[in-house]
Amino acid sequence: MTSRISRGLSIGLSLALGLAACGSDDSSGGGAGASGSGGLAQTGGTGAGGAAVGGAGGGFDAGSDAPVDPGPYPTGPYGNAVGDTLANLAWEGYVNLDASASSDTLPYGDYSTDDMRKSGKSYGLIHIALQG
Amino acid sequence: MGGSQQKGKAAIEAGGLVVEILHSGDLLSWIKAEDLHVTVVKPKDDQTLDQLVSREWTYVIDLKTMKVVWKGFGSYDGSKPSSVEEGLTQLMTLLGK
Repeated sequence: MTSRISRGLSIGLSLALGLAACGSDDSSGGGAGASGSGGLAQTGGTGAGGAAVGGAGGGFDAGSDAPVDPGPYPTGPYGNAVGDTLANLAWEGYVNLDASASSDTLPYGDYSTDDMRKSGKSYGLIHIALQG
Repeated sequence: MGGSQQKGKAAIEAGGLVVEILHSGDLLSWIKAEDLHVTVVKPKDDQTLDQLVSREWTYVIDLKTMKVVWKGFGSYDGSKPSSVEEGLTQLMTLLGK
């Protein structure tokens, strides 16, 4: 009986160690994958928001038009359906707030959905384009 | 400057924000080729495509709440009008124009 219990514990311990080793391999593989292109799954509201808030920390000052401090970015859950709250997304490029000049003549800088929110404007449009 | 570029400029002049996110390609050459007078950016990480799905999608956002108030998709092969045209019309309506 004692011997059987011992053998069971031994097998259990071996399995646990084996799983731990596999977990370690998986997480290192996942880390490498995460730096590549992401999938198109519409998930990760909280994670997305957290990452983007950090990225927007040094954002372009869109407040030259009508700066406002509306407080913290809305909390999740986030989504992209009508009625959903859009996550804080981090970008970089040419910010054109008054359309008076071609955008390539403007400074290059960080920008984000949070900067859009702080612009003082009521509505904004976001379009995903492909250079063609 | 083409039709949608003119509408984008008009939407900004009417008090809205217009952001073009370049899925792939060079920002400067695109701006110059299209004579863009709107904000033109590229994503800093994968979150933008995770959240906004893919190219040819357009979203109109209520910037007070950050809620999506309209979304539309064109087509990948150009067989349908770009969703940005309809999105700009929606934006102008929301701006009272």
